[in-house]
Amino acid sequence: MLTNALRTLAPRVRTAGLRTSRLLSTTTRTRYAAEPVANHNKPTEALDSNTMPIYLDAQATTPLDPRVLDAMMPYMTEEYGNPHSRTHKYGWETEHAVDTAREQVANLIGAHPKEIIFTSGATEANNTAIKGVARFYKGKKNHVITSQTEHKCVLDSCRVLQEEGIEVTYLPVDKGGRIDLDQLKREIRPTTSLVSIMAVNNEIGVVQDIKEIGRLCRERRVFFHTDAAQAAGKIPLDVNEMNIDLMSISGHKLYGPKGVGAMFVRRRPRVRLEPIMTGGGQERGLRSGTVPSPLVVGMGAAAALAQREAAYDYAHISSLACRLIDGIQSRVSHVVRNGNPNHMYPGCVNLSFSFVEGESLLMALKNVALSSGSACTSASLEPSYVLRALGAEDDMAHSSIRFGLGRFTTESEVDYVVQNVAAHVERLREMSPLWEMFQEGIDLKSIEWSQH
Amino acid sequence: MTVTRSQVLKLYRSSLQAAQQFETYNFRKYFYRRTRDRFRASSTLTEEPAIAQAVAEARQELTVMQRQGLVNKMFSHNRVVIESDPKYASGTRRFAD
Ligand SMILES: Cc1ncc(COP(=O)(O)O)c(C=O)c1O
Repeated sequence: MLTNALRTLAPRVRTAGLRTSRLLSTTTRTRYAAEPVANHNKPTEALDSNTMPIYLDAQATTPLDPRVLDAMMPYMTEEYGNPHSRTHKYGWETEHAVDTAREQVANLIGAHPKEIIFTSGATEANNTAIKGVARFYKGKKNHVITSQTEHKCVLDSCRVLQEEGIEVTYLPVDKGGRIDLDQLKREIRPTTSLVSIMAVNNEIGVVQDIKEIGRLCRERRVFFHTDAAQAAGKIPLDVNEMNIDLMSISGHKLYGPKGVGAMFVRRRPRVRLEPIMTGGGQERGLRSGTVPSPLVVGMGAAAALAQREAAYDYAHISSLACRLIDGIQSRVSHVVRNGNPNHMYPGCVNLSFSFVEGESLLMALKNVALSSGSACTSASLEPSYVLRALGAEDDMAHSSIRFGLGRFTTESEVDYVVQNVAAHVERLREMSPLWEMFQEGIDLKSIEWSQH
Repeated sequence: MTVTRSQVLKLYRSSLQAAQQFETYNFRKYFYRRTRDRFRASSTLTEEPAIAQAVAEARQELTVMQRQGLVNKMFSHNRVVIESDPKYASGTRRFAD
C-alpha cells in the first residue's frame, strides 16, 4: 500500500524537486555574478548541472546516513511533541526518544546519559565548555591552556576570555603536529582552571595523546576539555579511561544531521560552568532552549551506528587511505604526508606536493570535492595556520591538499582521484620554472629572490 | 524457531536488491558492500541463538533499506562524475559490485 502510494508520488516529487533546484541555481548564480566573492576553491569550469564531483571532504561534513534519516523521520512527521511538555503523550513520546538518544551518545564515549548536554554543534559545545568553565572559576583560577592548532572556535573562545582578563597559553606543536607533554606539565600553574586540547586535528588528522594529557590534568587537578568533533565515532574514546572532564561532539561529522552536537560534562568530580544560554533551564540548566528532538534523535542514531560500525568503517577507511597514499606516491615524486605518521586518523590525508600550488591543483581537480584545509579558511589564500604551526615552510603549506575519506567513499573513487592527481601534478610541474630548476639540480634555497 | 538455509538466502537476495534501489551512487555501493560483508561474516555462525539474532537484525536492516531506498529515489537527481566514466564502469548503475 504505502509502497504503491510512494511510487505514484515519486515522479511528481522528482520533477518538482528538479524545477525548484533549477530556479534556485539561476537566482544564486545571478546574485553571485553581481558581487564577486573570492572563492579560490571554486572550479573555473562548472560540471554539467547534475554531475557531482567525487566527495573527498569528510572533515568539512559527512553525508547523512540513510539509516539515521530513517530514525529521524517519525520525529519530523507525527511525533512533533515538545520533549519538555510534561502533561501529555506528545511530550512523553518525544522525551523518551531524546532520552534514548542521550544514552546512545553516552555509550559511544563511555559516559553516563546525565552527563550529555545537547547543543547546536561542536562550535557551541566548545564555546560553552571553554568560556563556561573559565568564567565560573575565574575568581580563583584565571588561566587556560590550549594549543595553536585548535579549531577556530576554540581559539576564538580563548581570545574572548583574554579580553575578559583571563590568561591563555597557546602551546606550540612539534613537526608531527603533537603537543609536548613535558611542556604542558611545565605550563600548568596553580591558577590553571582548564586545559583544552583537540583529540583529532581537522586539517592534518593527527591524534593527540589524550590519555596522557587526561592523566596529567587529573594529577594536577585541572579540568580537561577535548574537542572531539573529528574523533568521536572514528577512534575509540572513553571519558573515564582517558580522564576527560568535558568533550565536544558534532552531529554532522559522524553521518548525523547538521545543527546538532553534544557536550559531555563530568558529574564526578563535578565540573561547574557558567551557561551561555539562559532561559527555560533545559539540559541541566547548561543550555536552555527546546531540545530539537528530530536532530537529537538523528545524533543518537548516528552515534549508535558509529559504535556498531566502528571496526568495519575503520578497516574500510584505512584500506582506502593506503590505496590513496601508495597510489599517489608511486606515480608522483616529492609528495609528503603532513603529520606524525604514527599517530594519525587514516580518514584525513593531508599531502604536500612540492612545486605545485595547492590552489591551482584544487582548481584543476574540478571533478573532486576537496579542500586545502578547514572550510573556514578555504576562502582565503593564506596558508593554513595549522601547517604553519607544524613548522612547515610557506611553500609546503601552500602546496597542501586534504583528502577526507569516509564511510561512503569507494575504491573506484580513490582510483579515479589517484589518476587525476597524478596527471595534474605532472602537468602543473611541467609548467613550473621552479620544478625545472630543481630538476637541473639548482638549490632553490641558494637563489636570491629580488624583493618586491 | 529455526531459520532454514533457503530463508537466509532469500533474505540475502532481497537485501542486495534493496541496496541496489538507492539512486545515490555512494549509498548504493555502501549498502551493497555492507550487506554482502554482513552476510559473509554471519555465514560462519553455528549457534542457533546467534543465527536467529543475525537474521532478526538483517530483517530490520532490510526494512530500513527498503524505506530509505524509496526516499532516496524521490529526491535524488545527481550523478557522481565516475558513474559516466567508462574506465570506471563498475561505478555505473547496472553493475553494483
Ligand atoms: C575540530 C572541530 N571542531 C569544531 C568544529 C565545528 O563543528 P560544528 O560545525 O558542529 O559547529 C569542527 C568542524 O568544522 C571541527 O573540525
